[in-house]
Amino acid sequence: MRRLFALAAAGVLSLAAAGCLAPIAVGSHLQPAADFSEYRTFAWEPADAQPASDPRLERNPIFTDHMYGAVERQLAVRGIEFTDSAARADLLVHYHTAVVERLDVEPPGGASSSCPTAACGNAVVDFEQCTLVLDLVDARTRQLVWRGWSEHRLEDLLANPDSLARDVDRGVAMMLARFPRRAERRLPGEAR
Amino acid sequence: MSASIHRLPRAVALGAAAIVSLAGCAPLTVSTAVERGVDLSAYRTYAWSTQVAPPTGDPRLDGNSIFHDYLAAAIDRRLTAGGLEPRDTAPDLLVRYFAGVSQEVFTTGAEPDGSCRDCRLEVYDGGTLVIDLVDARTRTLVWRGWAKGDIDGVVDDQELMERRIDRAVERIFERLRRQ
Repeated sequence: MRRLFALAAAGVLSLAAAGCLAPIAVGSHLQPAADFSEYRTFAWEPADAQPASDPRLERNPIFTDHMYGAVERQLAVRGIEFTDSAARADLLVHYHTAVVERLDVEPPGGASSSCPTAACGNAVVDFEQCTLVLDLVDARTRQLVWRGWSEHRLEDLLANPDSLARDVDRGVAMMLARFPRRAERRLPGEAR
Repeated sequence: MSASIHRLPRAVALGAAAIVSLAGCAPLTVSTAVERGVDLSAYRTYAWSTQVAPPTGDPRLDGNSIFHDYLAAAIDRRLTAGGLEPRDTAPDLLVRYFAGVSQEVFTTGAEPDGSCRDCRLEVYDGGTLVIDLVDARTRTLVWRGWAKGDIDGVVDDQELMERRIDRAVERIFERLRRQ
């Protein structure tokens, strides 16, 4: 429940509350020494070897197509264009997915509870959480300069091809909304 | 914050830390263990262990060099502030750390007699940081410090995460200076 409150506080539940869109949490880290105004082009590199992905995503062309498409669109909006030549790219980009079992609590008398009243207390439910992680690596220094992620419930992503496409697009757009804007270097102590 | 507190007299710094925790900082449990018979003041130099840190259990942090570099730099600052000198060749100590994230479940409102009024289950992300000092010559662990706390929502916010790393590392090394 506290986790859900945290999501709400981050402002990501505003649409989900209306019952139409699944909740997505996003976050990012940036390398403070990197000069983001230098980056104009990017190329894809193979996903890194992180464990615990899920074949239902990785072997799903709807997922991979939308992942590539969404990242290319969102980076282009920020002035970073795709190039198919890794030798000319300023940034090398890869993503990976990780699926982990997580717990959440639901309110008394929640969906999976056989008890209809608050007197029964609340229940812990487990679910599969899927994290999409996007890494941007400086092509010259090979240093990770930005990482963004979005967290989804796997059952929401896999509900149907439309929700998969829509939530990958939303997740990528939400995480890259945190990408530093050109010519706006972060000052020490400044909120990001 | 940590840098400015560090320059203050120690009593003032501890007072300030207590006020910060009263002001609503998430509780942090800190503890240390020292190998019997070891004189920590005899160690003068250190280097980072080449041992690869085990996975954190959190896909946002695994393979995340921005996070690992910040944590290692925070530990470096505290070690050198404590009088240890970094040295690549023949150091006295090897330093390593482990950072882990796992979900914790607890019950609020439980009475000591086991009865339960208005009890609720809660789930939060628990973060653990373990810092080890290993004797470089004998390869034995001589000191271990760790901190454990609620890190719900912390990893998603880099600035908050960096403040929490600073605080945990500072609190762990406060205990090293006393030992």
